[in-house]
Amino acid sequence: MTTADSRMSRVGFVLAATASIVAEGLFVWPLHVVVAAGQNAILAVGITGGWTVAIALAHPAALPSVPRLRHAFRVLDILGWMVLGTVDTVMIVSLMAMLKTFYFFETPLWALLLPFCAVVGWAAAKPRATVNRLATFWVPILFVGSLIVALMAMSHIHYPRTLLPNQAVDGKAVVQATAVMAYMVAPVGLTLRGLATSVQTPPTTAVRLWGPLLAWSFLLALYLLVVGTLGPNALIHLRWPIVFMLDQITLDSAFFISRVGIAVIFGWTLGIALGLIIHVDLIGESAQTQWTHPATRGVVAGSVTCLWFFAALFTTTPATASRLLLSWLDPAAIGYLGIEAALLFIVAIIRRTHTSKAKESD
Amino acid sequence: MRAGDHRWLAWGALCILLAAGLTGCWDQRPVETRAAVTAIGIDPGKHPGLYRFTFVFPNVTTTTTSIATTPATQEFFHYTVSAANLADAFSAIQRRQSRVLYLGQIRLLALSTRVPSEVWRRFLQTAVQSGPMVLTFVVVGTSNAQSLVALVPPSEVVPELALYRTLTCDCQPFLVASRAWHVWVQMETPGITPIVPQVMVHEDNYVLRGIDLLAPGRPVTWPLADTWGWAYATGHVHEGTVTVNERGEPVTVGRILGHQDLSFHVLDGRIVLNDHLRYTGQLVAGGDALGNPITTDRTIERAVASRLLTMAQQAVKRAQASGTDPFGWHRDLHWTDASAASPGLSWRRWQVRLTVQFLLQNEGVLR
Repeated sequence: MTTADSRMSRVGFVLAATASIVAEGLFVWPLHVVVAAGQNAILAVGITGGWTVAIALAHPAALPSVPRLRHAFRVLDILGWMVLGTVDTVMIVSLMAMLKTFYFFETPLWALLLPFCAVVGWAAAKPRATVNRLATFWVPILFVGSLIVALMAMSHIHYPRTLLPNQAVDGKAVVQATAVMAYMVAPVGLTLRGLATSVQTPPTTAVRLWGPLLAWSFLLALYLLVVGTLGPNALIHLRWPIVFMLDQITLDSAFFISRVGIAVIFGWTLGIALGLIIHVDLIGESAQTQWTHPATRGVVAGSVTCLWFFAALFTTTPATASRLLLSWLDPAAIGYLGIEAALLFIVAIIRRTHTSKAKESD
Repeated sequence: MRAGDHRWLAWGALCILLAAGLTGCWDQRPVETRAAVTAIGIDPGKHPGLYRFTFVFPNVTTTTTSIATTPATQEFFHYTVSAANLADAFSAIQRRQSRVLYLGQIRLLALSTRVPSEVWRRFLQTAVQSGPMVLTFVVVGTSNAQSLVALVPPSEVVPELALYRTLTCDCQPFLVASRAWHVWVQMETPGITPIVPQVMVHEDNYVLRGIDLLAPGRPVTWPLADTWGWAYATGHVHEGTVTVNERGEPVTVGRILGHQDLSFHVLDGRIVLNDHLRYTGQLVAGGDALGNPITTDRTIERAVASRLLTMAQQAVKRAQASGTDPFGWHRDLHWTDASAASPGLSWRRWQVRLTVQFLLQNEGVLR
């Protein structure tokens, strides 16, 4: 049940979807895809972008009221959140390791993790209107901030040649690179379905499409910036290519501000937190449909963030986390996406028969 | 006070407490307890596998009176230690210091050309992997790194600052990308021989001499003439000057600026590279007594184009003879068509076609 207070606006819907998708890969982007396909990673990025748009288009404004189908989607969502929750842990580990490597050298891990998880849990336990407000306020700020820094970084693009695919294309590598990005495609359907339950008016196709489009144009812009600056060969030796690249933006003469990139990195920490808040909110919302007790959201938010806190505290290195991501979570995400595609196909068939029946009755 | 107010107070207190952990105070150290390294010089050591590291520090004054009383010669000091790698050198330096070593302010890394290229790569890789070092410092090659980093040029009080500014000011006649991250990217990218500026100590100052190629084995120093050829062949000229003799009269063309257009073709297993260079420049001196300016300008343009071509060709010949590629053409081919490129650097199947187009422009108030 949704009250007027806890609904999402259309803008909130789009921006929350954007944050949810971007948060899933930002800090390691575009390392894994370039490792898999080198210079031709741009093809895989294009294919994945198309894949994302296809998922957004395949989602109906509201799921058909077939009980069995709804049940199947509920099971799918549980599976999806299990995969995505673990991917989130990997992102938290990577983020914390990055902060410790570049900025907070001596700060203990728990001191970084605790406020981060506490803020995520606290905001996610609030009613959905809070999430709506957070997304509408912060996402545009973070976007514009990143854009300004990106414009400054553009003078570093030395290798525009590497932004185009190579004349020799290894199809297998491109397919592999696309599969590697499954963990970034997985949140699309989950987010769109989860947010659609409490939007003021059922989201139109355009509204559903905007979130994934914004997210992927942001990721594409970052890809062009990083690969054009570092080239595909050197990039794969770094753990956080974007952070490394932004670290090199120096304004020697401007009032001793030498590391402009720091601003955007702290902004992105906020962006990741926002993405995670939306994820926990969606998990809480889907649990609420099962157990209608008013405390459900709070309990879910508390337990998920606690789980993240301890998982991130005891994951030894970001290298372990990326191995987990590539060897276990990616196959799981592909499995999830396969089932999702099959169910969406069934939805499409039901809708077609439904509309043809409606036409016949006319 | 209602019960709800207490809850808010508790939440607020908790938030402040948690946020306090993020202020960076765990890392907080007053500046007088830090020893900020401003320059590092690396020379070969007495034994193979050992290197002499020179670290330059500013003399951090602790009281206001000591600022006034520190003599100019003691404002900076340097330590030299012998170590096998950068990490060992840091620890050896720390053992001689009461202040904590701080690596975020390095502006200059000077390496001796007698240090093998692989060791250069290893040192930069260490810098990339260590978070505190920001790779915006400049990397230069020299014959004696210790004397270069310790040198206080007459134009500046701070030793390494002048050289850092020289290389990052965009005011040099040819541009060599010398920031550490850029040099590192070249090292990790196959198909290019990384280049760094070659700087020498001359009397009480430094001078930019040419480029050092980090060829496999040991770095190779290119003389200034070939450095100009390299700069013209790759479009790295910022403000070139050429003097040609036209009918016995010297004519100087300055402010030469331009770019390269590269294209690759694979013909019967041969790689044909077309490097078309487009340059523009201004008549700086001479040429007034040569008669009709229209025809004279064309003749001067042809003469300058032919001079640029000769210089570029000589640089290409030098690279081919030594099996190096400072132009990055092997890399560009690899990025265009990976199937045509061979692993490693080999000029055997290559045919380099250089063409130069030169135009006189913006001749100013004199003509």
